[in-house]
Amino acid sequence: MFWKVVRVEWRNLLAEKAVGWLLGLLAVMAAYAAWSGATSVDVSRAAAQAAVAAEAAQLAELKAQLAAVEAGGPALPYSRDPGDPAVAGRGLAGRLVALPPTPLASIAAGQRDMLAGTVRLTTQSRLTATPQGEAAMTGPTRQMTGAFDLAFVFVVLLPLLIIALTYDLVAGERERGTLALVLSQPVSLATFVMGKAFQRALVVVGVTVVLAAAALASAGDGLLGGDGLARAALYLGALVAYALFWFAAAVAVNARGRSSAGNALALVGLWLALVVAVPGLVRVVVEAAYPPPSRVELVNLTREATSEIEEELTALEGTHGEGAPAGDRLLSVQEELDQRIGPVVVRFREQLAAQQSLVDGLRFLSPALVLHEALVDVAGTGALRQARFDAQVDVFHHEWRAFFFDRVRAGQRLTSADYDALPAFAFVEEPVSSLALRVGGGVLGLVLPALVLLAWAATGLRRVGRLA
Amino acid sequence: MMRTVALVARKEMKELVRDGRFRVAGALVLLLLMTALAFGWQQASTLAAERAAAQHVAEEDWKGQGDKNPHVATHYGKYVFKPVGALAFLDPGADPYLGVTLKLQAHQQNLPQDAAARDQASISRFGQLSAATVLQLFVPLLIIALGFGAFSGERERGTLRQVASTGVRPTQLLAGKALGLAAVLGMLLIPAAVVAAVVTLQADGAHDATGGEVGGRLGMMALAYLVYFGAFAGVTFLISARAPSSRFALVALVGFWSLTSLVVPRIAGDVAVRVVPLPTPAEFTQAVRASLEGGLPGSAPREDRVDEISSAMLDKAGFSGAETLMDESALQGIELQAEAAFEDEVYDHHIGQLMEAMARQERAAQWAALASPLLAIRTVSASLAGTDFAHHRAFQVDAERYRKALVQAMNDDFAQNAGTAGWDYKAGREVWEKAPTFEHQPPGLGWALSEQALGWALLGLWLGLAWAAAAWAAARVRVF
Repeated sequence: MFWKVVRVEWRNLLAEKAVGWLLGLLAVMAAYAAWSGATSVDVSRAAAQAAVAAEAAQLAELKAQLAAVEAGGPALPYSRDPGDPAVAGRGLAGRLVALPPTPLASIAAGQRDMLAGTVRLTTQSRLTATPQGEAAMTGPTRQMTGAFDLAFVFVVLLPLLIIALTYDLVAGERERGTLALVLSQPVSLATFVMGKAFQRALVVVGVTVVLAAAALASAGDGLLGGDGLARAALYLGALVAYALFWFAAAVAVNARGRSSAGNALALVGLWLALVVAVPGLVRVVVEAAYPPPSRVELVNLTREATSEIEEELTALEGTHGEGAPAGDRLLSVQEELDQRIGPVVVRFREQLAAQQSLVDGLRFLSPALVLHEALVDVAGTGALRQARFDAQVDVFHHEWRAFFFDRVRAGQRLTSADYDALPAFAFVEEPVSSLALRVGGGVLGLVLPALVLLAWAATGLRRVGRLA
Repeated sequence: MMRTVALVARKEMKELVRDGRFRVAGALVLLLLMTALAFGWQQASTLAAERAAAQHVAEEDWKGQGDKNPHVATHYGKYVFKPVGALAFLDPGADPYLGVTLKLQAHQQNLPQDAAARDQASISRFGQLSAATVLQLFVPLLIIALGFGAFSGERERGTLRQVASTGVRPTQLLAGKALGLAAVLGMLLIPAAVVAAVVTLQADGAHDATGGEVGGRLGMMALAYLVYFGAFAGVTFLISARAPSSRFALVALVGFWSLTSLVVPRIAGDVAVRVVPLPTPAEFTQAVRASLEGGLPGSAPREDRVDEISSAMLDKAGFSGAETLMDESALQGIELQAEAAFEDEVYDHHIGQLMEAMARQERAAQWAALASPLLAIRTVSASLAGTDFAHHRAFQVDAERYRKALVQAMNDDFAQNAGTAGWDYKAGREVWEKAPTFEHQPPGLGWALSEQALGWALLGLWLGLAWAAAAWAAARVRVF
């Protein structure tokens, strides 16, 4: 009987033009979002590659200059001497380290336009440097509004589509007067409603999965290598679970037996609460619980810590003259600066990590938050992967510094061969199992409430209620 | 006639107030609004205190920098911090995405840094819960929920025919229903508005120089939201009158709301970024560096241009051709100023271009307000709160003007007082204290209004069209 209902509904649905329009609209928006996301990832990737290439060219140039001097050419002035490890380390020679986008980066913009995925490292303190992102600059209003990415289409718009297709599962039949007719057949109300909902879910989930998967086509080869497929599976799994939750919510509201307008209001209210209000409130809680330290205070603190050093340096720069500050003075000054600023920067990261772990717990209050966090996680565009990158860059920075500082301390000059032996950085991705654990927890947080809602709906559907 | 309208309004109000669901929805919206106000207030006061304290530290830091050559002092530089406006707690607007610290130094124009959004978890992408978001997103849905059945519901219950038979004219019915809706919303929002106004004006008493201005901005803000709600009410009545059923009216209205409030703003932002593309930070830095080294595109290379400027300066000072008679540090001073002038030209050109492009991007997105009343109110509201890009740009321009004045003052001191000491000349605390101080004067209300004329016009257009259409539809409403 269940399948008969599904088949009948299939025919009904095909006859309804509005359904085609709605699904078509979803397809158009998903296609645009996928294209838009892919192009902005391309821009960032190209910019990052260009920057890395430019840095490599700069190092090659320094090496060539040094080789020329070594071959007996004229010595270079102090401030442009690639052989002096203090000078070269302080700015001439840098290493650009990059956080490569994941194959799924285009599905969720996350914090991409906010954070810097490429960092130029020198021996100077990296803690005080202002990160510059590699995404094209954008006006603040666009940043405030957020990108039109797939995450937005699925998290925010998909539930509205589901609501539009399901708010009148029972009430529609009642209002048209066909409910009595249907229930005169050997079918229970529960089977009837579940069958209808199942059929619609099949259509919506099918279309969603096809759209979501098609959007990944742009990732191309990247998807097949590494953890691409695992990420794609997590992405689709979370998406299906999210759609399931909204269908369950719709069935539950339908089971209460209100008018179709009443159902629509209740569902839109639920949507507003779960997609807009709860995330907003969670954010209030998170920011009140772990307010980020003040950047403004950091500026003054840094200034205080550096003022002595800066005075020394600006005195040299300001006279526009030449003169060599002692290499080891520069070096101790840089280390001292790190020691003084370090704890404050650590506090920034700790607060952010604390915020994120609170979000990890509170996300279960809103399925929209669960899906959003999962998508950003899978796309690798969130604060979590950035924190991992930052930690690895810290370790690498020590290595990079040591390379120059050791030579300063030993009073050695850099040679052109040293330029081939400079430390290199490669980002180590998080093992996909721990990513799967986080996203899997989220999926559970969607499926369990969905099952509870369905069970609750089943008790309501045992009573037939009004027929007309 | 007015009696009829009042009668209809009273009936509508009673009906709405008695409906338990709307009481709950109204209470929730009010609760959300109050939470947003309290949180916004707490955040904004923390930020304001932080920045005021930081500005104080920065001033002290400048004065206490010790004895040094005045030009060296301009290398050392000075930080300024963007002040927080008195109304930012109502609508943080674009502020969290805009830089707040600006280092002012010689030879270089910096862009404000340290936007708050950098230090936020990815949840921030759901948008901030501020009083403005509650008013812009939630209240329209409340209006829809209250009004979608205004005509269609009465038709379905059969009461529309009875009402029509009493001789009430459709426009009177519409006016009455609108008044009823306004009264219910007023019960909800007026207390919140009063709280916001009292809190703002009271706090502003501390520095009452802007008191009248803040009051004016608050008043205009109330007006803007009134227009916005009015437009939504008009659309609601229009669709309720035209829809074949209440169910249809509701679905159509929620569809209208989600398209105009969710989809259009994001698409508009996305398209604007494509229509007016901006450089990446690296490209921008590269372009500036290229111009500093080789001169601005289409103009003389660096050395020639600097010579040009310095000989113009000598001309002006009447020393042209008599350089040998001037003492060395005066010449040094002139040369420094010529270099600074050249660098200013380069930075003014590039940063000006960047800011102009950003403003064009913002404007391009604003035109989408033709398809989204939310976009219209959002720009107007942020502009009145002083948290939009235009106000940010005003701060930046102000700070840059100050930077030039500061550098000029220091270089002048060098040129006038160094004498034969040249680079060995050192100035001390009294010179630092005499240097101009920075106090950002936010632009006035009139400026904000003219800057956002487009937003106001589109907001008014929505109101006018919605009500014209609603009146048209009400006059032709089917009664059965």
